[in-house]
Parts: sequence; structure tokens; C-alpha cells
Amino acid sequence: MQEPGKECTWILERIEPYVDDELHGEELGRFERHIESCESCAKELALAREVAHELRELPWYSCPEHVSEEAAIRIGADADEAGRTWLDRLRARFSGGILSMPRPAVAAALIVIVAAVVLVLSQKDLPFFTGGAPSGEQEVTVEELEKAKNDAILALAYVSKYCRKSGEILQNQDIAGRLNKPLEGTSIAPIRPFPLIRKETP
Amino acid sequence: MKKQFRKLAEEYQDRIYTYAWYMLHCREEAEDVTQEVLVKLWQHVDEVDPGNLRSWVMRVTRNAVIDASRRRRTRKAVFADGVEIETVADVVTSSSRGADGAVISREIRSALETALASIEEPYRSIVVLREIQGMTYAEVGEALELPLNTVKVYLHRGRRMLREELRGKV
Repeated sequence: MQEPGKECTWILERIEPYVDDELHGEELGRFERHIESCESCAKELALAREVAHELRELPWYSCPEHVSEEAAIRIGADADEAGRTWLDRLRARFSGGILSMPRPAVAAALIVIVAAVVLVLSQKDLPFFTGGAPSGEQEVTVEELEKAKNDAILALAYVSKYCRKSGEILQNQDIAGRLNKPLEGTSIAPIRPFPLIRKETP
Repeated sequence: MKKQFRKLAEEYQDRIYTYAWYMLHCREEAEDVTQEVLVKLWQHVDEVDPGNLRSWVMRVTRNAVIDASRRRRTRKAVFADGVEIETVADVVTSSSRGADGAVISREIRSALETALASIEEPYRSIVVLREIQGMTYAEVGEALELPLNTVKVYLHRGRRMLREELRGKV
């Protein structure tokens, strides 16, 4: 007769196959006889059965609807893309006007426009300021140059503020939502709303 | 086309999403994986034997999950951020009902999900596909490209690992 320790080891190696009804004949008989007489192995078997049962009760999760909708858009877009020329793509890209342009492009355009306006306004010898042909020699004072510079700095500061705000919006909407917070202390994460849980019938 | 795609999506999206969630424990990444797999499914559905389609889908899903894990590791290295592991246990009420009406305690489910998230591959995949999603051994073997007997042995090892993790907690 084998020592209890060795028999328990033999039993523990076969607990999972037993739970799955994969033991037969003499092996099955030997297993069940030992379980009847060994409390420790019987407890282990009970735990194994509970784990198997609870695993099968873990839920399926419903995929949010927007996932398949976005996939459908991608599939549709890929199908359309195959038949388009570069001109079609360019037209489509800017079909929404300035709102469809990338934010950096808009910001850069604004900077150029504002700087151009400021420089133009600082040029007093242009026809719309003088009412006619530019005068011959015209001097720009230090004060006028200083004012033009300050106006340009102010314009750039406004544009910079817009860019920063746009960056914050981008970060909040597109990036922060995707980056996850680090684990804090326990391995259990904070509560989050979750989609409807449903159970599939095999 | 849209109707055909919708039908295909309805049949597989929950299965893909559920697997991705249990593997990644991140809703956003699971959504990304699901979308990616649905697109690939649409692109290749005519090339796959209908009898093996489910296994094929799960194989593609697993590869997408592996890619997502790699991207997560790269992001962690670049941004030095941690990844928050979501569990459903925190949002499940104190008790919920399984298919047979038994009351499943929040603590057991929480402990089990945490334990499942801690066991390594391919044991975790096999447990999810076989025990939670009810795929046959043959389907699991095809999805993970493992022989049938290996799937059985690994499943038992995976459950034993879970048992070790749960000992004393339930």
C-alpha cells in the first residue's frame, strides 16, 4: 500500500480530469475510493469543482454598437477609396471648408494672416492709406515699429492661446480617453460603467 | 453590403469583444481589437471554410490581442504610464444570477477574474475560449494552433493555476 502523501499526490494530478469526466475504469475507482477517505483531497476536489462551475458562469459582454458601425464605415470607406483619384480625395478632404482642415494647418494659416495684416497696417505709404501713389521717401519711426511689433506679438499670443486650447481639446478627447491610469494599491480597479451584460446560450 | 456586414457582425462581435476584454482588461483596447477583427472578417470571409470560421475568427482575434499587448508595452515604455486593469466585478451588484439561477457572490467573481488575469498564456486563452465561451477542444486547438491533447492538458493546468490563486480567498 502506498503512503498517504504519495496517494494524495496521485489524486491531485487527476482532479481536473476527474472534474471533466475524463477518468475511467480502475483509475476512476481508485480516485473515488481515496476521495471518500481523505478530507484534504475531498476539499481540493470541491474547490476544483467550484472553480470550474464559476468559470462557466462568467459573463459574455455586449460589444458597444458604435464598434461595428465604425467598422462598417471603414469597410465602406476602403471600398470607395479604391475607385478614387487623388483629386477626388483632395476635394473630399476639404469639402467641409476650413472646419475640415487639420488644426495645425488652421493655426498656421491664422498666424500668417494676422502677421500679414499687422505688417500691412504698419505700412503707411500704401495707396489705401495715402489715397494715391506712395510718397517718395517716408520714414518709419521707432515708435511705429515698436507698436507694429507689439501688435504682432499680441496677435501671435491669441493664436498661441487658440492652439493651446485646441491641443487641450485634442488631448482630452482623443488621447486621455485612451491612456489608462496606473494601478493604485490594489489589483481591483475603480468602478466604471459597463455595457449590458448578457449571457449567450451555447 | 451593409446588411450582410451587419449580420456577420451580430454573429461574432460579442464573442470577439468578450475574448478581447478578458485578455486585455481594457474596454477601449477591446473595442479597437473588435473593430479590427470585424474588418478583417469582412475582407476574408469568402476565403475561409464556413466550418472553420469560428476558429479562424478567434485566431485572428488572438493575434490582434497580442498586437494590442505589444503596443501597450511600447506605450508604457515611452510614456511611463501604468495600465489600469478594469474588472467587471466592481460594477456588478452584490449578487447576480447565472444561467441556472444560482447566486454568484461578487467576491468570488472578483477573485476569479483577478486570478484569470494573472495566469499566463496560453492557459488564459484556453480557459476563456473553452470554459467561458464554450468552444470545443477541437475549435480551441484550431484557434490556437495546438494539438487537441495539448489543449486538454493546458486547460487542466490553467484551472489548477486558478485554484492555487483562489485558495483561501473563497
